[in-house]
Amino acid sequence: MKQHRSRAGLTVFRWIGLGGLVVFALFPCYWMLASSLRPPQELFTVPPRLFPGTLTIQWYEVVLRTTRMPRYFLNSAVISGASMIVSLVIAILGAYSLTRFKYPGRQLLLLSALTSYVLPPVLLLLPLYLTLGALGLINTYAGVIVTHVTFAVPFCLWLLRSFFNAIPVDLEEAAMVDGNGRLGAFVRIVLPLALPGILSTGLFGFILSWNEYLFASVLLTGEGRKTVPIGIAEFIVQFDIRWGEVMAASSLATIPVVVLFALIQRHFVRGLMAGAIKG
Amino acid sequence: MPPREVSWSPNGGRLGVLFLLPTFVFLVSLVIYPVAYNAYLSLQDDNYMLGLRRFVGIRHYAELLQDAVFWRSLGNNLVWTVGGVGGQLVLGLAAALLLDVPGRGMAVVRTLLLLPYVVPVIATAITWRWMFNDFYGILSFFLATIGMLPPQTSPFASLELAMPAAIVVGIWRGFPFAMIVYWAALQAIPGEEYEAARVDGAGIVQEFWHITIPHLKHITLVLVVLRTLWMFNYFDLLYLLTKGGPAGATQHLPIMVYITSFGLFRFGEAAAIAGLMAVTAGAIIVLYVKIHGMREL
Repeated sequence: MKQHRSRAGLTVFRWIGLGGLVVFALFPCYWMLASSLRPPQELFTVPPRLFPGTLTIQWYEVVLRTTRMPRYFLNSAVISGASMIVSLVIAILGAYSLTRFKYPGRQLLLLSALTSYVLPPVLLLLPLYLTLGALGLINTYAGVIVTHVTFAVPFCLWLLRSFFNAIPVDLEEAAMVDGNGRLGAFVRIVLPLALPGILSTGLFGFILSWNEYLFASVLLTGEGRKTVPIGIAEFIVQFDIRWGEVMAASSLATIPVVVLFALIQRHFVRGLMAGAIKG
Repeated sequence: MPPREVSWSPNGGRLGVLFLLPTFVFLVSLVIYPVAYNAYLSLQDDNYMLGLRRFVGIRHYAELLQDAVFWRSLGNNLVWTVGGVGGQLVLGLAAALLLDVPGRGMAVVRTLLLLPYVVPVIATAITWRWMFNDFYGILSFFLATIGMLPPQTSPFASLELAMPAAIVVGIWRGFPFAMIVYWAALQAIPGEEYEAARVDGAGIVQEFWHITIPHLKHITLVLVVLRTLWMFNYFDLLYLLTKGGPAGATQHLPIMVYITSFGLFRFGEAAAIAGLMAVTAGAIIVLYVKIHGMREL
């Protein structure tokens, strides 16, 4: 009886705790969206009002009609898409090789991959900037894609390894007995089985690239190639932030990643559980 | 269970090496080469504007160790890292424990709580700056109402409060990662252990201390190392929140590298700071592998 009461009390406590956490996690998102939909007289009130009265899309119109943001969205999509594809190709092959084959130096390679995953980005900043400059790749898509690959490949490699590890080797061996070569077994058995994992890994890589600021801010200084984060940061002229526009642009930048993440989160969680960071 | 491995054989082996080639090229050209180039740069005195460069040996390193700004940035970096990682782990564990019951509702809540981890950093930084705005910020207003902040000020303008406020944002962003890792670890604890404890008449608190905590020790160590490295090196969020201000109160080493290189164009010095950061990160990794063994690999 006592046991029962304490478990019921726990349920109440659980939902209060979770309610608090949800408010903490989601309030900034709500506030960003709410602020982007308020007319000026409601945006700048003291005290601030929790719920908007009238809604307006005027800030979105300003952002989409009078600024270069649409172009920046295109740039971001190209750069994130390309670094996703390049990183996936490198990481699929690398992760498969590292999970299925034994050769001298494999542990060292794995350790290097782990190390490159946690290397300070500012360590790569100057060398990459100077090298890409010497190659004439400043202010180009290719230059930024190269820098985004530096963090996307280790990430994809790490996550994909756990997806490949979860596929039984027996299935490949059966396929090889049936007359497929190793390559055939890889293409016909492993790739289809790992496809959900590969897709979600790739999309998370896309999100990482979409959100990146440091390398893009240094490499993209001309108008034509800037990404969304760089474009939004430019709204912030010290002491004069155009809050309405900035909130609308931020909401626009957030929507695609939230949609993508909603699609892949289940696989992402499974990837972590399958051993990317196993306990 | 780790899968059986195909041993080094002429046929399969060639494919394995072929598949590894792109990763190898990646590691050499985009990891090893830049790290070596950075080490080389750190030994040069650079004037990027005038195109001058000369070898100065370890002078930049020696000067940095005498530089008050460097030590202050390192101190800020430690506060930012320890505060951020501590908060993320505590909140992440709390969230994971609260989520650890079956049900569709829990899956929805879990997804909602993951959201801060994917919102673009620029949107995160701007929204929190807006919420902490001196005149119109809803959080500044709330904090002033309960007397924690002078009216019509922003914590980001305060020497004492700028870093704590930034750490709150860092925790907001990073706790979902700790949450999901802890949650995954909780799912791996065998249910029989709890049932056995319950038969023995153990309460919730005893269950937590004697079963849950021991099972989470190992993953906590992994999380501490990974999150420490991540927060220590993390540039985007703090820079977009404060640019290191006011008066350097939130300038940590990544911001110092950025300002020294692309604000002051002192590339050699910036490379030396980045080099010292890498040495620190390397020491943490060695410690991690020592404690953890190569098993994880």
